[in-house]
Amino acid sequence: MARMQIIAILFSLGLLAYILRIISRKSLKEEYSLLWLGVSIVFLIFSAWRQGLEMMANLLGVAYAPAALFIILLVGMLLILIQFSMILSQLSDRSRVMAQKYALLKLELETLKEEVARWSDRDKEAGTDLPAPAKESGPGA
Amino acid sequence: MKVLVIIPAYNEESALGAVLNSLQGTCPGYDLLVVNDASADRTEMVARHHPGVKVLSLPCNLGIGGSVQTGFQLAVDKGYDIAVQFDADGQHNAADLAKLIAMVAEGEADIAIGSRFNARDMEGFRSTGLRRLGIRIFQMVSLLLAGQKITDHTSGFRAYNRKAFEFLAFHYPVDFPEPEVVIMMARKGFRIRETFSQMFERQGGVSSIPLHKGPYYMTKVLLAMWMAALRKNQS
Repeated sequence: MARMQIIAILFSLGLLAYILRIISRKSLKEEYSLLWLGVSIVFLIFSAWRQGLEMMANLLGVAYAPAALFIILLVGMLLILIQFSMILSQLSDRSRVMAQKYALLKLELETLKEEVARWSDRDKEAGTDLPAPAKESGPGA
Repeated sequence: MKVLVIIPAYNEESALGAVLNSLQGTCPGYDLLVVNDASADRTEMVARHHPGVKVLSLPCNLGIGGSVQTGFQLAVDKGYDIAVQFDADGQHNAADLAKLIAMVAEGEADIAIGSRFNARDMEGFRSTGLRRLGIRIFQMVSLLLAGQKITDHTSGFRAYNRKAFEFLAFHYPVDFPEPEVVIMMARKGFRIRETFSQMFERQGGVSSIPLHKGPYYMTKVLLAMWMAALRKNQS
């Protein structure tokens, strides 16, 4: 077994084990882990299965078979990065919506507070020191 | 007819007060809403101390698109008939507001844009050379993509009817939205009309597009315009 192959197998086993560990610790959500698992399993398969790798290298026209491993890794990274960009876009969208909702609610709250303050002032002037009778009469009545 | 004037403001403490005064002076019947886009200066104070002005304060900076959209959402909630976008830097002429609103109110257009270019000559506002080049490119691209002859895509002086801002309250581009909105809305079948409105030099604050970010802005907006055109048939 070539040294390169041993290193590749150890590396992919380590990667796989690490990913499984962070999933079980809930540091990585399952939905985002699938690509990682997929990439590390494919990488493991081709590290161990020398013939398969050579077939793959032939197909790709790569003279030196282990170089095909790097192509696999590169494609895997690319996929994961694209997924990251998609998730980022989604997250920034969501945080925008939340910021907007927050601002709208805050304005609504401020308006209500002013309304309540107006009503309780009116009550004080009238001599009744009760909280605003919001139920009985609507605003502007 | 209930009209909401949305004024997106990011670090505009120096110009905002005068803008609000001019709006209240020329058209007292309209509600004014300042959307403070997490400004670092006293923009929010200026707005809050101005009587008769509603203030929406965003907790983090969303850019002009996100700010204006929040205004649209309020307009939808509170049952306004017309929503106007009016920049806080003092470059728009409040005297033309009634003209824009009339175009929308009378059903002449779904969206009325105050353009810095007169139909006949190009007087009114002297932009820097590079900005003019950018504006020219937008004109050609939009003619190609949307089949609409719009002269001033970057103008932030616009009036929208209920149908238009109801749509935009949920589908509004975020960063530099003006040119993209033109394509998107034209493709959706909204009627866009322009009217000449003199633009002034900004009265304070800094441009959201500094010169060195020009290429980035152009690339991003052109890509967004193109994508908006491709999305024609999606909801």
